[in-house]
Amino acid sequence: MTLATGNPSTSAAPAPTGPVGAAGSGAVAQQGRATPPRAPRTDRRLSRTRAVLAVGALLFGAAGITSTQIRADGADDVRAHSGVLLKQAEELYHSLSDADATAATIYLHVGEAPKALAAQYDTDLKDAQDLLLAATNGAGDDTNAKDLLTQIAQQLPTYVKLNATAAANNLVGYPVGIRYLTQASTLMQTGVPAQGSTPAQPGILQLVQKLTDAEAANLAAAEDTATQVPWLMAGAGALMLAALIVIQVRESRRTNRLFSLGLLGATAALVVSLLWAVAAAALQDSHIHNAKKRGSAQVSVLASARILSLQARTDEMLTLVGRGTADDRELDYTGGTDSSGARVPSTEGRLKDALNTASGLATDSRGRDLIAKALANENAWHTQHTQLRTFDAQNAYQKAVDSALGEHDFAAPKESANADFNALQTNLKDAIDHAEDTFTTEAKAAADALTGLQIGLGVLAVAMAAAVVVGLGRRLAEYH
Amino acid sequence: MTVTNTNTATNTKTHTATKTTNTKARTHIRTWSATTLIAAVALTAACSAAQDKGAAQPLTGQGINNNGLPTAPTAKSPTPCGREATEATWPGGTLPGPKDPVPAGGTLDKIRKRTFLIAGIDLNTYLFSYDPHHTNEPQGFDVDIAKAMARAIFGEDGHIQFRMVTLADPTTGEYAQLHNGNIDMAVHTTTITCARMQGDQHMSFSNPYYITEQKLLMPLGDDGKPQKFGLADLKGTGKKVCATLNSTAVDTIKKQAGEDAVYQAPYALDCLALLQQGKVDAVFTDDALLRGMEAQDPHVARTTAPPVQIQPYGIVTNYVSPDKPNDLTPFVNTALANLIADNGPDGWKNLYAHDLQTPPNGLPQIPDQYPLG
Repeated sequence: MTLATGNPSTSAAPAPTGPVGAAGSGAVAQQGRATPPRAPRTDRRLSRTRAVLAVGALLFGAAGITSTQIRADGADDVRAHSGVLLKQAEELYHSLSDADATAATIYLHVGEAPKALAAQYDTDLKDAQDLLLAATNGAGDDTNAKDLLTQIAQQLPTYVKLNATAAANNLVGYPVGIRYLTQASTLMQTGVPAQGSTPAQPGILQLVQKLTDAEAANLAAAEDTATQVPWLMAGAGALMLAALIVIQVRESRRTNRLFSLGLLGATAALVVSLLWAVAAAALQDSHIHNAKKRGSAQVSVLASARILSLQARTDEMLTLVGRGTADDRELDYTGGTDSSGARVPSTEGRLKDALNTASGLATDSRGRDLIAKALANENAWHTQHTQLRTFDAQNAYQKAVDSALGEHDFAAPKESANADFNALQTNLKDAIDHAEDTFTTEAKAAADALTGLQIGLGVLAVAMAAAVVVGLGRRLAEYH
Repeated sequence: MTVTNTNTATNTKTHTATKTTNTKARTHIRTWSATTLIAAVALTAACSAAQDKGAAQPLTGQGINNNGLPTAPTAKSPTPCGREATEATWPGGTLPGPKDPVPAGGTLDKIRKRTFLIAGIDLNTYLFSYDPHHTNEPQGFDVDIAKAMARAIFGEDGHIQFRMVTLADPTTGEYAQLHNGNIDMAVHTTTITCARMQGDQHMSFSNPYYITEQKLLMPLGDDGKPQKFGLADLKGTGKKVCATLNSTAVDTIKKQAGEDAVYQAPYALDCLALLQQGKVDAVFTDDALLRGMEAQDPHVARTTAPPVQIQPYGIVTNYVSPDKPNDLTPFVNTALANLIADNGPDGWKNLYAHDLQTPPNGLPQIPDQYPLG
């Protein structure tokens, strides 16, 4: 608004008189007073200055509002959009990998699935569906994200069908069920390579990973926008301040008055505007920084730790279910070299690394405490896992299954791979929730830091313009 | 317990295993005393066989088992071989009774001292060896053949322990298990081929206990009866034929039905799952495995086209070399001959009819020529 009305007057006013005014001196001014048709030179100069300054004040206001709007949009994006989409992508990843681990765990049970596990599998899938819908709605015109979400949504029914067929075959004791379970897990985790005219199918989790990466990049971009230095406003402010100072110095030399109250008021308004903007920006920066450091950065490390833990759990289960036909899953757990000589990274090792990284990133005692607990759970679980692999190798298959499912018939019933894995999940969830809470609080504070600034800048700019008009108006009146 | 610890030295990840042994329930005592004995055996074996294998870790490795037709290291250009390759029998033709002397230091001696036989089996081959309820109580034809061998050694039931083994992986699979002495024999739907006997692994096979062929499995026709197609009939029809990854069946399909017809799956049983999903149109593999698939799905059947190549299954025993005499293959051959001749409830015919759900057409004959491989 202010821009539209300001522009014509700036371009119109100085154009015809510019060259003449440049040659102005005391003598010429007196001569000017003697020729009535043309306004006196000082008069005209002052009037011009007044117009320029008033328009400049409004322009500064416009620049300030625009710059603030950009940062506010960024902060809002962090709080309400990118942050949420990233969280949804991470939760989708979690739901799906939890479903995969749970399906393998259910398979190891004889007969009907235990109620709690069946309910967990159903909840995971329902959550995944809800998250897919919400993420699709939130994706807006992000075609990359929409494309990924569509692919995931298309593959999910196939995955569910494979698992259901596995369960049906398992119920009647047909070994083909294991192949269905393995095919389901392959579709979820690594995908199916191309063969002849059959195209390759990417793993569902690989697609979710791509989505997570894209949303993380969007969040980083939003954080950059929210903390962008407002050059436009800073430039306009500096010019305006310089102009006001120069005019005031000149006017105080020309007249015997030390101050023009109007110009002084305008300067004060400008300084207040600048100080307010700087303070708000600094506050916002620090909240955005905290949201990232104490919130999203930790969430992303913890989320990947949780996913790795679920992958390791699936490995543990499928190795037991496979009875020698899924030993590549144990290799995925331990890491090593596969039969084709390719290096396989250790999922368990990566999990430990992620937890250690998270431990280093933790910024408060609760976060540190939860991650320390998770690390202890991980260690205990790994010990149990190693032991259950030994049981299996020594033909004590039932003992290995007992440990994996937490159904012990020997002493120390609390010690089992199942118990340690579950404790790890609980502590990881709490740690993620804690970091999420921090993120939400900080992101909200960042958005709130700019509250009122735009209106304030507008009001101050108008006040500044008015002060200039009124202040220089008094001086102009002396010529009439 | 100390012996168990010695075993863990070769099996690096078992450090914690001894911790809970003191607190175990009664049901596991037998397993554990068995484990201790295995450890004793492993200790003796480790001094000789396991040494050159380095840090091989039994049973915890990364084998990809290709049911029926493993991709094991084999001789590059095998020479034809026939009945003489497997025919060694126990001297005199009469097996020693449970108390009769056997050659000291031999495999049989070792098994007797341990008081049970350790048989390597698969657990995912329906009708042959499977554990339907994950209870470690395997059943099937392979399992019963292994039990019969244990009965021949000890004169009574109950002297056998099963270990699940994979076929293919050279460092952890069936061959390594045999060489390391972790198992005494493998009864694992393993085809006797010249390449396997002549290759680096020197697999030692018994005479065949089961003869199968390679056949085509397809959904039933519209009339509810098995279809008539052979591999060659599928050429140019755009139909996909599934086979185990890298198996010889893949080459056969390529030759007879064309390059485009092949679809390779990690395991033969994957092919059934793919057929049920409509991703392939047929499965081509050993008749024995196809029987298992038919038993899991009433809507598929082997086609009536003539079979492609005979696949004799043998019992694999330990590596034979001049300095490591193996008396188990001759024993197994004689015991097998007795089993096949036995018409009683524990005889070959009855086991076959019971486990494979159909009476045998004939007895397993030793072929004049084994498949090259």
